Amino acid sequence: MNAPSTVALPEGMACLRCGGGLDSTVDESLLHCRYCGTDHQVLEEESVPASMPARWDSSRDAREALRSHLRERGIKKSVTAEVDLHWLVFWRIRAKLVGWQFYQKRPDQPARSEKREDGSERTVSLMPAERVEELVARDVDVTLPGCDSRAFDLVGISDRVDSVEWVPFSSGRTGEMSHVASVAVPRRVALRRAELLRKGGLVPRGATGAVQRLSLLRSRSRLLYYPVWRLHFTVSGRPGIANIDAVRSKVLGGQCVGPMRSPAPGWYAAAGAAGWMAGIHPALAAFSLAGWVLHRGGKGGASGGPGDWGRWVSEELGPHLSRPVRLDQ
Amino acid sequence: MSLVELICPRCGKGLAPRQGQVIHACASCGASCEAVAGQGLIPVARQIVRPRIAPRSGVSLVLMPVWCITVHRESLGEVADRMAAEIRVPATGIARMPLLVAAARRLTAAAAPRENWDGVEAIVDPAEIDAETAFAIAESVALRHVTGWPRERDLESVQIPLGGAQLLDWPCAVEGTDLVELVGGLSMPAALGENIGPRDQRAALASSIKGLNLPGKFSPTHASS
Repeated sequence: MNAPSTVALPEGMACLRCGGGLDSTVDESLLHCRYCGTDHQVLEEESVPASMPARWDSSRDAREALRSHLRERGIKKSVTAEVDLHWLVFWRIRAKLVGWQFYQKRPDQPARSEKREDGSERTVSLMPAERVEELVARDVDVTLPGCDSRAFDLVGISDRVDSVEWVPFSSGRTGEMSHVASVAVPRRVALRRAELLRKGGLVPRGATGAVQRLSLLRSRSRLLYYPVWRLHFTVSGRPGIANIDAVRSKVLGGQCVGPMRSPAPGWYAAAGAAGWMAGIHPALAAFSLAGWVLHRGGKGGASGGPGDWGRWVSEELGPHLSRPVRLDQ
Repeated sequence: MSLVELICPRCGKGLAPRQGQVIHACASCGASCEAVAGQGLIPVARQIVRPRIAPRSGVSLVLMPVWCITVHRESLGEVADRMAAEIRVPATGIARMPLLVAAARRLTAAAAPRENWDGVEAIVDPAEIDAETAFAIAESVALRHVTGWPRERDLESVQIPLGGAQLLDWPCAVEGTDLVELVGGLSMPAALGENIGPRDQRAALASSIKGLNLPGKFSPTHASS
């Protein structure tokens, strides 16, 4: 007879019978020994299992994704100065929600208008609200931020969780220069948020007076570490920042200052032509020339005195105006 | 996090679990056990329920695991006599919660009297629901078991006095997509047991069923053809 055994798991999981490697199965709580075939069940206690994607893009892929994204926005040249990999943490909560809810709902029926004695109109609904008693038995599968992921333009990863191959998290695989986010949202809070999120969606729109008694069952929580590249770059010497999904090579967000074509050259030409026609061309031609010189001076970056005027002319009338560019999808 | 080796504590054979399974049943010796953190595999007591109706010829006979949770009705005051004495929650079908809860409500409402079937040797099936989950489902079933009780304003606060839970193996006949339980004759969707894939118990239970002299015909030889 074999005595059942339970051991606290270190980072590497090994078969309790032969010490061989364990493979995960469809059920994340079951592991199978690839050598002796013994099955094992993983029990959650105080610590929570954590996962990370099996693969993610290199910094080169991230740079290329940014270049391509900038090109689509008319920015042909950029210089990447700094690249960091950030591991953002999310809670994945899976559970069952069971219980009852009551609410009042007015049957779908068009309201009709009724005239008051004073001639004004009021809207009247013909059917009274009816009381609905509903049994709730639903699955809960939500992914919630475990850190401030909004700063990386990543609100949630629910839409991509199932398409990613997840492996157990290992700090040795995150990369030397990476930043691993701390779990800022405790598990209890995440569970409560998941429950509230799901409860909130149960009552139909327009319903009033909802009373619920629901239980969250078999809740399983897991931490998901998701990589995001943060690139610091410059466009024409001006700084920009971009956050790039390191699994899908897509720009999540960011901003920079980009050039924009200006009608100024046309204005210079029009002013010269108008001056010629009006017979006062020497003055207008001189004004145009002065504008052009100041513009060139402004682009050169000199500060103070005529340089500032030049920068103003450059910004306002120059052939290229700078503009803030948002790098969201 | 801890790891439990899924080896039968009684005979030492592998338990070969399936997805979602929480109560394991050894296919070799029939022992039933549950993995508990810090304790490893602990035995789970099970009891087979005596059928009161004979299964029809030609149908499979399965033992569906069902949690029976007693209700301390005496502390429920005015609804004591209308509350079920026990809440019966199928221990399979966790992936189909609406079906599961509906089946639990019907099994409880039918309140067919049950008795133990002692001296029967059958290899029982694993279960997908542990006692803790069964309690939560039982509470939901009890909450609306009595029409109009509790009142809406009391829904959130009323306490359901649930007692102990017992895991039973309920005899059922598989008739097409239905699972007809052989105690009260209630029909449930067979999809409830699809993940567990309950084993056909016709051969194992043939002689025991014949010994009961139940109304209706039961022919295991015809059935196996």
